[in-house]
Amino acid sequence: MEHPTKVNFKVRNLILDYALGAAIVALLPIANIGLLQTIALFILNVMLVIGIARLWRFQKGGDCLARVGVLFGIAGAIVMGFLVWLLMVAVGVVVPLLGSLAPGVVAFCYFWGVGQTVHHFYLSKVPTVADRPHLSGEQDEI
Amino acid sequence: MPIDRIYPVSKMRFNRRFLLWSGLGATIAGVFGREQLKQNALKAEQAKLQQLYDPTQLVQTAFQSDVTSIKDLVAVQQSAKLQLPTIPYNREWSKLLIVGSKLSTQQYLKGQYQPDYDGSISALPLYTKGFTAFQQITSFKAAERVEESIPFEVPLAELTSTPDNLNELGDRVNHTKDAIRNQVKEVVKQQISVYYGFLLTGPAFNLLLFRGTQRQLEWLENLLAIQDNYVNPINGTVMGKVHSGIYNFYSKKLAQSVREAVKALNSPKPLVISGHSLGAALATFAAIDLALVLPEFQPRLQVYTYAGPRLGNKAFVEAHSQLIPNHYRIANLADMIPMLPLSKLLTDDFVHVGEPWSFLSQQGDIMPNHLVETYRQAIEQGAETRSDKGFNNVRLRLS
Repeated sequence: MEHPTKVNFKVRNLILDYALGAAIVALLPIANIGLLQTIALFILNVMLVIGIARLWRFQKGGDCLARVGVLFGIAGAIVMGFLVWLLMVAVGVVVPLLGSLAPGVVAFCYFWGVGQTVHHFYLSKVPTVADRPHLSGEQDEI
Repeated sequence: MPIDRIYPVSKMRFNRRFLLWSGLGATIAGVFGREQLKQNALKAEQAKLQQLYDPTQLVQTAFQSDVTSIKDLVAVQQSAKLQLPTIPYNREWSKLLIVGSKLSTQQYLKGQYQPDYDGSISALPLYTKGFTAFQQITSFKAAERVEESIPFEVPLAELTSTPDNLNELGDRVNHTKDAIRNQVKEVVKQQISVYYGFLLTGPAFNLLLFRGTQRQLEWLENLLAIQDNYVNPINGTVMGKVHSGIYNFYSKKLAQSVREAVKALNSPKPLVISGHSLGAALATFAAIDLALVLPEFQPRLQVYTYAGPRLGNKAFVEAHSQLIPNHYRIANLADMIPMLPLSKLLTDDFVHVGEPWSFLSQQGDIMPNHLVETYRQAIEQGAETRSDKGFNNVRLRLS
């Protein structure tokens, strides 16, 4: 397994890529493709989660709090998306042109939130000595 | 040390990121372009509307539509071409008829509370006020839906004589329920047939009288003005549209007995048909039904209706007027019931039939303005007139 810092760097880039992609899909200026956009965003979301898990090599061992944290994180991403949407609506009142970017901003925030959540699930997994080869031989503090 | 030295970012990743940012930028540009187009279209639409916006014209149109709707209503009321009566309105008969309307109400009330009452009007308090010279041929009864509580005796004997085989509590309860249910059925069967009027033969004319509204359900039937085709009982042709509730009631519950009674009259004297309120509506239907079914009576029919509601559309009232030209419609101008149903009710039109005679007796509320006693006192004073102006308010004396 790669060093966690390296994986962290790769995951961060992956999340950003997917968030950008989601924003593009959500913003596509084509009429009557709402359902198609929703399906595409859902697929991208699943791909993002699988992509992050793959970078972490689907490691097991996350404790209960880590699992609950995923739920909290997803809820937080939804709430964040909603609040950002409200913000963009408010901005749209003042600058109508910016208001039209709301779907893209919401998708970006949501994907960023979900990505970070899944990422933190793997980060918050109970570390073992095997995960920290540079500490091998020392007593595990946890 | 730069990060790409530690974790070299591949060319492909850079390209992908670059592609994504570019895509996002293009998409945002597209969104902005689309929004701009939308805004421009909206502005053009607003400018177009602004050119059309003329407040003075809009206000004028609103005023005009108000006037048009009122004109439409007046046109509906005046649309029917009614025949003029061939015989003048008879005030003396009218005085008698309105007393008769009250008499029919007394007959109904006596029949409701005195089970052994045979419908004879000679037993009623108002009989002596002009009806002693008349001979009663028959009374008309029809089933009435029960809405009030009816006193009845609990079948105690049956309840106490529980058969020996009913030992279980459930059996006993069921037995008691059945006994009460059967008794209630018997009582209701006895109570639901009520008087709706009578047929008299007198020295000057024969008289068919129907009573007015006495119960809340009948009021509801007056107001629920759904129209139905009036079907000629002889040849089945449609003769216009009429108030469904009252027409169905008359044709199903009263028409046959009225026809049989009138047919048995065998008298060359005029047949006067009259009634107040619901009675007026029943009288109107009875008149056309008799004119069609018993054509020998048609030239002798005269109809005096008091406080009657509108009953049918233009086609019906014109057919009615053609058959029975001697129809006089007496209405208190302050009475709300003759204003019902509305002249134009959704797609249906309602028009009055009969030569209008009016008086004014404003007693400040719907019921006193509509009472048969209000009509009686006004007609007693000869207050009804063909004129439509210069009315004096007729005072109602309640004793």
